[in-house]
Amino acid sequence: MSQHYAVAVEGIALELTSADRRRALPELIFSCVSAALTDAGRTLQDVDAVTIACEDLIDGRSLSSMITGPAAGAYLRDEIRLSEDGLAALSLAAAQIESGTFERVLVAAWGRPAEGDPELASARAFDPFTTQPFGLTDLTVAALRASAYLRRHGTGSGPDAADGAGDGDGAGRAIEGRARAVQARRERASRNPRANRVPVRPAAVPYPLSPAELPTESDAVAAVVLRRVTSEEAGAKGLVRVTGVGHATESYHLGDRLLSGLPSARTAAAQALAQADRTLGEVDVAELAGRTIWDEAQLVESIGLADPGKGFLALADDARLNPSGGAAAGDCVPASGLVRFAEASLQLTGRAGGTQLGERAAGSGSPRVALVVSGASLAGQTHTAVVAESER
Amino acid sequence: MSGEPIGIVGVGQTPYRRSNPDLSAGELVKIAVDAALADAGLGMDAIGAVIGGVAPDALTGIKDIDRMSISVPGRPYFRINTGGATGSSTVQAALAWIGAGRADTVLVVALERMGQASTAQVVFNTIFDPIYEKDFVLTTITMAALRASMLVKRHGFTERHWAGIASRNFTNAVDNPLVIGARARTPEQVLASPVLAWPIHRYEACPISEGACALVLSRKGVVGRSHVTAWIHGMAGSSDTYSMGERMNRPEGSLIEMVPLRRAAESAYRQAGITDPGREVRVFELQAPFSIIEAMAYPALGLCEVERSRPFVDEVLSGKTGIEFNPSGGAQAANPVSATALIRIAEAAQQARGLAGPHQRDGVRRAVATGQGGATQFSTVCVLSADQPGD
Amino acid sequence: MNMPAEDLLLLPGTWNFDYTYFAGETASRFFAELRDNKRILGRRCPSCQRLVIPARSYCDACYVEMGDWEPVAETGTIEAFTILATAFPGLPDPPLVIAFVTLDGADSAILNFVEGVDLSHEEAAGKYLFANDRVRVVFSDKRAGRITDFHFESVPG
Repeated sequence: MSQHYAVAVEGIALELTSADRRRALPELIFSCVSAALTDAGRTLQDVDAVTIACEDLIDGRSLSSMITGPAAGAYLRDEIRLSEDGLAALSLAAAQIESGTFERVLVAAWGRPAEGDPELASARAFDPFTTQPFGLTDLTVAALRASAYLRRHGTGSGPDAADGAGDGDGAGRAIEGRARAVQARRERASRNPRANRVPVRPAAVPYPLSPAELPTESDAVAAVVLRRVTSEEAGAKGLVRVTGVGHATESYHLGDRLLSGLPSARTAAAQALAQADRTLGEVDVAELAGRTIWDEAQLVESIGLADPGKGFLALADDARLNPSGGAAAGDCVPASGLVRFAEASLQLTGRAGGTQLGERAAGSGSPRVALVVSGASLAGQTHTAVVAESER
Repeated sequence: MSGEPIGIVGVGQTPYRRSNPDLSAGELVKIAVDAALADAGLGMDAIGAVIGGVAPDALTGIKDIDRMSISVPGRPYFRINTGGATGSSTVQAALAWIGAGRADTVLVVALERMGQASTAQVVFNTIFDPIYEKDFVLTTITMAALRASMLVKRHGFTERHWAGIASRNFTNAVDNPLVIGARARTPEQVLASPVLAWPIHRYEACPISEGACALVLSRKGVVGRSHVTAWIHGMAGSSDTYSMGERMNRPEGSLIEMVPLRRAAESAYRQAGITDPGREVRVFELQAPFSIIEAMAYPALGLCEVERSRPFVDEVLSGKTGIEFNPSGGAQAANPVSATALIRIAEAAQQARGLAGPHQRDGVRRAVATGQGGATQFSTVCVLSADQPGD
Repeated sequence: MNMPAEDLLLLPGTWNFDYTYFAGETASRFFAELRDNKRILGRRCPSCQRLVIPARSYCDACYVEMGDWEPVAETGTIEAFTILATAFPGLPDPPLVIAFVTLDGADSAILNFVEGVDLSHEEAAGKYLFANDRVRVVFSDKRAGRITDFHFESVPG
């Protein structure tokens, strides 16, 4: 039986900006990756391989990694680029270390809406014969999901009713806790020192979403340095390890999917927790990459952190959930999952600043077990989940 | 390589042709996947993960076409895009996945659907630097031509060398039933074809091709002991800086020395315990969509000294090396971009397994496949053998 | 199922994405120097000491920020060239010569058109360029802060 190595998080960096004209895309990446290396106390020479997540249609360059890869350190070393969410790249990088292929892998992911329009790009993933003619994009799918959720869980009308659906026509449906969840999300984002709250471009808002429920579209870069854990240091205080990983896939066809939930998020999270030998109850912090707050609520419920229909309430009242403010603090596909992972790692090392959570159990200290979940094309068809833990 | 042996136990390919108007992307993929699973003697239930390879989306005209055609509900799935090296990167990822114990068996699938693009070159033009190089005509063809001029200047290569390589590849392709429309060409016919960008002639470049290729990789013990397997003895990749200008002359080697290929080869050979590739490897399947790329690859693969590049090509063309290059016809005969690197591995695997059919070469124990992405920017090398590692 | 070819549906599609590429400060200054001062400036890596043009803000090989700005000479040597045969939209008609040139003093080559070569016979032109690999920089009278603000002229002998 071959040996599998454990994986530690050695350094992290995250940068959310809005149309910084001083820096070309490769320079934005260089800046963040350099910061991750500095955080790790390493130089590029110590890195064996680079694993990247980025998308050609968002970068506006076919085979983007030709130009952007070297900015992430891919100079005369192994490099693989996934056209996926950044958390999937982190998962592959962990496998590269677990398998003994490499000792130290740098993971990077980015998206720069100031240069290209990710929303417009997302439209081209839908079937041109049956779906594109109807203007589907990732955001309109989020709106479709929201309406499915409203159909399933919405009750009556009132202060939480969908915008525009007033009392008069009786069609308004309310979700308990929706308004407070939106408020809480905004408030957490305002306390996040890393947040960018200036959206790069205004978004058209499809019903039943409201503007405050959308992500803050930002130029986003995240970078993480992973390394092999040696047997001597296993259990070393302060070490942050990746202890569980999960992946799940649903049907491509939207019509075949449960639109008011995210079953692949549930499966992926369960796999990751099982591998980490942890229960949901032991999760101290969850960073869930939902672009709109509806996606966050559905992630919360699908994973089992709240009962069906109670996701918004949980987002409002459960401080473990997206303390960073989630996508409201700044986000761009496909960096989302790695941005969330970076935030979760900061929580585990007590460096989250204004959004830092204390340890849940009695006693002081930062959270110990983090769960990160993120989805990818097509509109959340696949999900990746990662459990990371810090040693006491 | 560390860990338990991993081998290729199933190979499936579609025919490669300019376009497939009668098939959806999913149907094209299914042909290859069904064949690979049947070859492996496994059902989809035995597959622990699926890894997809699709290169520039603009070639297919659908973003993430792999989602609708390759991903399998209920199986972990992700997509890799490293341009021309995509197919081999999927194998690297699969090796890490199995090596990490996440699955015993992985299905990798690469799909090229560029038949839907009306001008592939226009798409390829968008791979270059939009800030400093947009105003020039950098294309995959001119990139090759620029290198060709260096080969002429430094090593005295002539057109006949490249025409000879191209001729050999096209002639080999005639024995590969998957290359639809394969036609032998003499060096004279190659030289008579129009010049695309001097000194590259049309028949030194590859045609537009569509197709899909699927491989099933397993750790030792999954399939029966008597199942014919191509064992992976070494696999490595190396990526380089983008800027051609910065790669012209460096301490590591000039642009035409293909530094990343050399480094990937050194690492793969080391893993496989190969010290004299010219003697220890019988078949090379090279990802060289242009024959000048193939000429540069020989010294990078340790088959000759850089200074002897030209005489070595003379030896290759006169059949004196004892090495078989591109028995499948290589990337010159058919180059479905996303799949090409995987096809090279598939073809090398079939050679090692003795299952290459009409273009099987004799006496093959070890075969090497290379992958190439960007303008000779990403390189991979895979060493395969009929024998288990450590035998 | 065996549908006649003419019944197989083909759906036309066009991708028309617009992008706004950020050049960044370093490239912006490089272009401004071309336009305003008719100078080609590179930046030197403080670690490996390479002077790289066009100017970059960090060195790929050393992975550190580039240092000082320095001009390079306006003469140089062709490292690689090709003669284009096909017409491309937005460009002058072929035949055209493009080449990577190492300008004297620089440690990397830069791409641009090469003029002043008789292109009536390709083979002869190729032979000429192999035998005469020196060029000089010529700036356009009208400059817009683009890489085409200059080109190379072949210097025979």
